[in-house]
Amino acid sequence: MAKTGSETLGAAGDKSKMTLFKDDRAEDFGAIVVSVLVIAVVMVLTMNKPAAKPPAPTAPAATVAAPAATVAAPVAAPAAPSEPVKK
Amino acid sequence: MNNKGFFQKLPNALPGLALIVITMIVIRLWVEPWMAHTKVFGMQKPLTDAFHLNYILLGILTGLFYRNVLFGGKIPDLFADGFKLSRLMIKTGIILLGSLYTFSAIVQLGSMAIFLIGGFVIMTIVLVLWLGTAFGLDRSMIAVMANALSICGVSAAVATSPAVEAKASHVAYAIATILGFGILTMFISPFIGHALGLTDLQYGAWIGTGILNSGQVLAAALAFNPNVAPGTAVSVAEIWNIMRVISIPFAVFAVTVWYWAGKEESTEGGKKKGLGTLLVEKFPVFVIGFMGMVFLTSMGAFGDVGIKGGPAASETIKMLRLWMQWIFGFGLVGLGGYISIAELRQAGGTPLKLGLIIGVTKYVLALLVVFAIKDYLVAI
Repeated sequence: MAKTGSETLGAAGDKSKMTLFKDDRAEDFGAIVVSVLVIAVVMVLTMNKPAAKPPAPTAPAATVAAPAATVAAPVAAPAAPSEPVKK
Repeated sequence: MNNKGFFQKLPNALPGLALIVITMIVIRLWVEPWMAHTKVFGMQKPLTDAFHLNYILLGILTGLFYRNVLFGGKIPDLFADGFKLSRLMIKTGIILLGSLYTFSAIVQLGSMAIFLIGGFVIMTIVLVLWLGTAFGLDRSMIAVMANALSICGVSAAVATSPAVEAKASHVAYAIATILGFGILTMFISPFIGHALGLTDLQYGAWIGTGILNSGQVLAAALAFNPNVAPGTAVSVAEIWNIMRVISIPFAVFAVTVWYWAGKEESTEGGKKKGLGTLLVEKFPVFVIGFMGMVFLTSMGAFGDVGIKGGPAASETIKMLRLWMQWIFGFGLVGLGGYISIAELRQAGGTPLKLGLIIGVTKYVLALLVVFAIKDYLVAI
């Protein structure tokens, strides 16, 4: 067998492996265990936090810009009538 | 050979792990904010706006710098075991990504993904087998390249090698070729995506199909849009990538059948493996973890997911996403540490030519197909 010279192979002994586990399958199980731990910690940390507030009245993404623009006008409108300050 | 178990090796991994963690902390807490406010040659924040640099790309580049410049081409033994945890982190992050999806969203998005991914995997395998034979490459080399280029790079190459009597040098060539090409695409894809004005959905579908390696798909997606939420580039790219990863055992079986069907009776007595054995041996188990996460999310175990137009994401989901960003960040610093310029030089001659032809074809074709079907892509 040709010498690999590569550390990315996982083929020629521990030094060449890209994982600390015995093989890919063991690493997959390891990832599942770590995920469970992360979920458990996150759930404990957020257990007593209040639920997220409901969002503002929703609209389809594509139409959000239009109402925003129409809302802006009435807000700006009251400012418009104010007469320029006379000197 | 060192046969120590994972937990016995873990203490040795701490220095490398510390280096990775500190690197990402420095990048996220100091370098990224600095980039967002810096002014260069009169340009306001050019590093983020013009070069689209973010913590993902910086992490990979720093890992690459550590290995190839600071450490002179090889990660020192002191840090080596820590860097070996990078794939564990990436797989963990992908499992946690399951919290972005519900089964109904996957069915919506996945039906198109299955069709496209399946088409690309089959097309790539057929093309590599044909072109490799035409180039007169070794049959084992062709088989390894076929799966490496069609599915998800390193995992597929390694998974295929024992079934087709591949030499370590074949796997090395295949991996070096796909990593070389993948690194290039990982860095240029975000620029192309922004230049073409692609949406997260289009970009995710493109790179989930066109980039060869899972880690690089993840990096390219986060480099385009670092946000982790439903509908972002990473959520789309990863579900497409998962579809591809699931096909590993089937592709290994198909290529193995091709290998043994055309091979004359071997005097070395290579062992044939049955379909059942291959499926059981090669199935990527972390995908089950991902599906389990999707199941829990669909059942509402973590509260609302925060899909656009729906209720806001729960605190648990928000924190999970924050942790995911950090876990991916750590994993991708490690991934950068595995990019060896010297190893990439191993890829040369005909295998490189084959890899580049197929890689570029797939990359460009995936972009064209995504453009062609953009009206049919379903957002989640």
